Amino acid sequence: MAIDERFDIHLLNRQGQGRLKEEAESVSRSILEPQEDVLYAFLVDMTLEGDYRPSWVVLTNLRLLTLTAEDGSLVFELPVESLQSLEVVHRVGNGMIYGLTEDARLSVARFSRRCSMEVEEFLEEMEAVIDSTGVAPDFQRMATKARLVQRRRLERESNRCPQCGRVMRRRVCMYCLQKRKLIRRVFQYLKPYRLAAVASTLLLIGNGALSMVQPFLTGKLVDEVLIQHDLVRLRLMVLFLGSAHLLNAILSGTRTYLITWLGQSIVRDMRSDVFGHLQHLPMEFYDSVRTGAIMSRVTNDTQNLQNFIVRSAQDLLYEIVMCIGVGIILFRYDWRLAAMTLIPMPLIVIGTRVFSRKIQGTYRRIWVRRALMNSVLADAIPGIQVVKSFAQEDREIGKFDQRSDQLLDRHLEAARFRGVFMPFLNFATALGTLIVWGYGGYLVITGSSLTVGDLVAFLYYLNQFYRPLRSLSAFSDVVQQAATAAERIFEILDTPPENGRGHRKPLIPSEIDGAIEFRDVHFSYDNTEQVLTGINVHIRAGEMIGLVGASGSGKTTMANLIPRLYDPTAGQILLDGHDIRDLDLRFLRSQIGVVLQEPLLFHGSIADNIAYGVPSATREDIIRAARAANAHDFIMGFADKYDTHTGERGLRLSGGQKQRIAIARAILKNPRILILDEATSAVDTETEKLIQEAIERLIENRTTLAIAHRLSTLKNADRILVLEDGIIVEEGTHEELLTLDGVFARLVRMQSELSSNMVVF
Amino acid sequence: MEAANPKVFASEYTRFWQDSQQNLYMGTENGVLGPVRVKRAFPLTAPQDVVAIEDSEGRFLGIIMHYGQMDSDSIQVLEARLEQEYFLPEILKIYEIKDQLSLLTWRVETNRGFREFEVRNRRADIRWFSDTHVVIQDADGNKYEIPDLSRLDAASRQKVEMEV
Repeated sequence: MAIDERFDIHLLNRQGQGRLKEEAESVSRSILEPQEDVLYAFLVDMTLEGDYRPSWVVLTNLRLLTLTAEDGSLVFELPVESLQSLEVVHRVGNGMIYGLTEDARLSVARFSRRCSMEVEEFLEEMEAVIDSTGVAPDFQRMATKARLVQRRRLERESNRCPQCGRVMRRRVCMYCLQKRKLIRRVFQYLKPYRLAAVASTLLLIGNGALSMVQPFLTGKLVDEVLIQHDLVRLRLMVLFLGSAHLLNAILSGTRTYLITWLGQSIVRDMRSDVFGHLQHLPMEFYDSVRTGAIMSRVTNDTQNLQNFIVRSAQDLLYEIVMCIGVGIILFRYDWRLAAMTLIPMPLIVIGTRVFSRKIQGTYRRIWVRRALMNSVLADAIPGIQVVKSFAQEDREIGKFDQRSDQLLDRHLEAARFRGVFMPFLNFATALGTLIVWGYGGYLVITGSSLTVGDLVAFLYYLNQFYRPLRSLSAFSDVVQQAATAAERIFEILDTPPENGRGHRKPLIPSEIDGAIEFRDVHFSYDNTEQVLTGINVHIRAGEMIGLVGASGSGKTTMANLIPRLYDPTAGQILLDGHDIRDLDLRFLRSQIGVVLQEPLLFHGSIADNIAYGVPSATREDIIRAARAANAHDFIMGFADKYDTHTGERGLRLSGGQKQRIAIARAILKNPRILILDEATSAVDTETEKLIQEAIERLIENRTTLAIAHRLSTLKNADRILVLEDGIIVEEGTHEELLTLDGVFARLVRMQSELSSNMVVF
Repeated sequence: MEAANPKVFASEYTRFWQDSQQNLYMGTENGVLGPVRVKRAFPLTAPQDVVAIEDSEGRFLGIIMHYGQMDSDSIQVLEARLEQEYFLPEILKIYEIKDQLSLLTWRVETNRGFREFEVRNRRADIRWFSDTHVVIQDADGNKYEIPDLSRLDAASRQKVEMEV
């Protein structure tokens, strides 16, 4: 089979070795020697020179080959018996498979990152084949390979759909999640309110019927009352028309209230669902989505969907009914006249469709421009202190003005577009009316079947006919918009929550001692850079461990793995012998207290913030915790004491004060395990002493993991672990490590030099 | 501050070559360094200007500015290396940008041949360095560059302007 350059190699790669070998054999037939058999084969998407053209990697019992997929010409060959190992390197935008012999490292094949996962898996299998067939006697399989592959496979599942291989947006494949199912799920939200929905639909139909009666009555009014000079019937008809209007008003008023109630109830349900689900999503989700985007989903997208469910769906029904109903009426009045009114219809339908398509593109560009402008705001306002201190106000103003101008341009573009299209559509509609006046007037004057009243009624009906026609023409776009909103909401709702990653029923042990074990733990945030490598530590219950190392050495990551903010990419973490993934997540976290370098306080009082982890705490408990955290005294110095409002993110408190509130919070929670992440790094010496005291009270009898820059604060630690590039390089007590005279001793010397210099200043 | 000044290897005295193990060596005024690793320090905004040299452990050794003054063999060896390290094909023509469920599928001609790729996030994955210089990252982490949008044909340009 000839493979052209646009051939989907991934599809073929997914079809299994049987098929791949068969294809590879037919491609390489002319090159293979008589005794040569294909043992293994797969495709990559690049040539060795770096062109995007597919290539075959083929293992035979004699050679390792690389062939171009188009014509099977040989690009690389290596006698397989000299192969000692295989190596894969992933780089930016591409990667390389190397074959190592006794004296050379040879490039075997090149691939883009689209193939990275496939290559990892294929190579692992190919190595197994080489191993089992013994074609390369000195061959060594890649170490830690299985683990790497496992990790990458997991990674792929989050990027590409395991079923169809297409790109997923977070862990949901929008191709496999069918549209129809999407809409059906949206309507699920209507279920609890189906009575109200039916009632409002009935009201809507009543509205429609009453609207249709009015032109008919008006026609009769002209023909049978005005022209006949019948005063008695005039009164009757006016009364009748008046009642119809009144009833219509009452129906539509009731419907408006009902529909608003219905819509807002649905939005509330959706918002709660989305927010509730968000609370249980893993940290990875938040790493990949901006806060603003998430907020927009909770508020805007739910609102859009509500509009669709309640308004558009009913409008659709209403307009279909009106269109058909009025259409029939028109033809019953006079079929010739009715046929004439259809003349401008294609103009209206096509015009509206084109208009709504184009205007959507324009609106999207406006949206993008607005977002760009807002991003300047989002940078400059919170960062105002930096802007001012670097005297960059003018630059920020310039940047903002530029984006603001661009937004204006887009708005004007939309206005120009509307300015051309709307009059055109109005003209097309008016054309219909003109035709009716012209031809209908002719029929009336020449005394054919049409009366003056009929003509008046016809004109009324015509208006009722064209309006729904226009909105129906744009309806597919409304559906498209709703589908987009629905997709964004269900993307969140379908992202598996944290607990969903465990396999077994979550464990809740009756008691926890607090012994923690890291067993060969590896971790990477992005699958390229390894943050932790082979961490093995056993922390006894109640032990205090100091974690030391340069920034970026993996200290905070190691701490974040304990409450499962992230899960290791390989290896295990055990709490009292249980894999923490088997434990109930809520239970696990209830056992862990965290004090961060910059503690986050929520909107509310100081008391609320201290009691955040234990909302049922008594006031006495709160004061006790605050006293233990050396926070009581400064709290009592505020006018509102424990009721003092912390302001947005605790803006009104100093760093040291926030820190002590966070410690009080942790003390009150009374966890078995404590994580202190540079808890004393941002405060003056006096405050540090107070905090240090508080911490000493806090860590008593608890397993503690303290990350510290100031190494002096770790004197009391039972053991200190020194991390470098994600590897534990030293381990021991403060004294032991000083005696060892390694990394730790060097860091201590550097710090004491730094502080002695500071004294001189 | 003195200590932070990077060592600058004069490009006119620098040579690059590699051995059969594909190890890269660098000849300088003061002798041979190697095996070394090379990385562009500004791969997107100034790819030719600064190349950082590291030892095989990833420790920083120095930089070379404007390597174009080296002999052509060295440039060839170096550029092949740099290109493997940071593969950034140039988009020459855009056949289609399809927006499907807010996933953009691009079908393009690059200087390395035809390519189809998906972009997940309009804002995060498409970086504008100027009004005409754009770098696009696809769902798998591959990157593509349009160095000068105004040099593309009108139809391609319009597709970018409409969808991005």
